[in-house]
Order: sequence, then C-alpha cells, then structure tokens
Amino acid sequence: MHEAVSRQLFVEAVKGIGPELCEARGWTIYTATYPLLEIGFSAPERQSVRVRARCDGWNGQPASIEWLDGNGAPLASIPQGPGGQLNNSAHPQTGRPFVCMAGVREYHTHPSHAGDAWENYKDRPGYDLGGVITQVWRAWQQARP
Amino acid sequence: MSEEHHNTLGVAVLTTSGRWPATGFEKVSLNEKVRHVLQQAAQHLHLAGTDGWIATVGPQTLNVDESFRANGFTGGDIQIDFGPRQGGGGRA
Repeated sequence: MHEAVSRQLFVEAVKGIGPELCEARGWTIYTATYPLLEIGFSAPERQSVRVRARCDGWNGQPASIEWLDGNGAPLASIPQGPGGQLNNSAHPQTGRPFVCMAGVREYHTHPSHAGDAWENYKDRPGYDLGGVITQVWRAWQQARP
Repeated sequence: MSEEHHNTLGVAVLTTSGRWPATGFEKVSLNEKVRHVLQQAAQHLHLAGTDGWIATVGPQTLNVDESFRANGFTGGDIQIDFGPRQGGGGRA
C-alpha cells in the first residue's frame, strides 16, 4: 500500500478516539503519529501497560502490537488471560510475547494461523484500528493482574 | 421538577470512531430500549455490524434489549462506552 494512503487511513482511524472515551477506559495516548499509535492501559489495582501499534502499511496489513511497561520499556512477559490471546511464547518473527488474535499482525504471520489471512477481517466491523485496539484492551482487562 | 425531567436521561455514546452526539447529551426516555439509542449512534457514526458489541457505563455492562430504566438508570447524564468484544485467537 502506498504510504500516503496508509498515512491518511491512519489519521482517519485515530481521530475518533476522543478524550472522553480515553478517560472512561483508562487509556492514555502517548503517540498518535503515523505509523505509531501508543496507548497506555490503566485500571484500579492493575500494573499499567502500554501497547505500541506499528501501523506501517495500514490497512493493507494489520497493526503489529508490542507490549511495553508503564515507562515505555519492552515487557518480557505479558499478563495471561482466559482466552489465550495474550501469548508469552516468543513469536517466530519478533522473538517477543505477542497478541494471538485475529486483526493483529503477529497472529496473521504466525505459522499456526497462516491460512487465516488479514483480508478475511480487514473490512469486518470491529477490525478498524480502534476496534482492534479495543479488542486487545478487553483481552488485557480479562488477564490476571 | 417536570414529569419529563423524571422520565428522561441524557445519553452520549463513545466509540473509537467518535462520539454521538458530537457534543452534549441526547435526551431519551428512560423507557427507551438501549439498543435503539445505540442503533441511532451507529447510524450517525457510520458504524455497521455492531450487533454483539458491548455497551458499558463504568463497570456496568448494559442489557441492550432492556430499557434504560430496567438497567437501573433514573435520570441524569450518562456516557455509554460502545465497542467490539474481545476477538478470537489463541492456540498458537
């Protein structure tokens, strides 16, 4: 995908994430400049984390999600939830914990899901950039502190 | 206070695609089903396929097929957080 198109789609995708929604969800936006969307998640009695969504090529390819601690340093492990979407094993391409969920680059590039292409999801409701981040946030909410 | 005041509440729907209404709160009947208001919001925000999304107010997940009153609201202004459920995956 041409970078200018990707950049424009990114700008359109992030402009709807308003301050009231962030306050309601405990989100803090650290970066929303193409190709990076970095959002902090916080909740009572939880260790704050950040997710860095690398959106190069959006939405010709899904966003790559990296987990960071509250200060922005990469996390060596991520909280585990009941659905198995937050995976602490080393991803074959990144070598890091990853989100094993449709709509996230590390899912679609994992050999276990090679047949489940991003093209199957990219136009579905809830798989726009804000929708994918929302799904990742819900997985984090359900994870053990 | 008027009878209308006792039978309405102000609603704003927050999504990652924007807010409806853009400013302020939409006055709706307490007897209105939550789903109808979410459908209005989805239409204004150009959201399709929102069946199955989750609507929450603070820690409370709303029963969208019930009225606002049946969900425990008695008036005032509320902000509904509306978004998709956690997606499938795992098993890698």
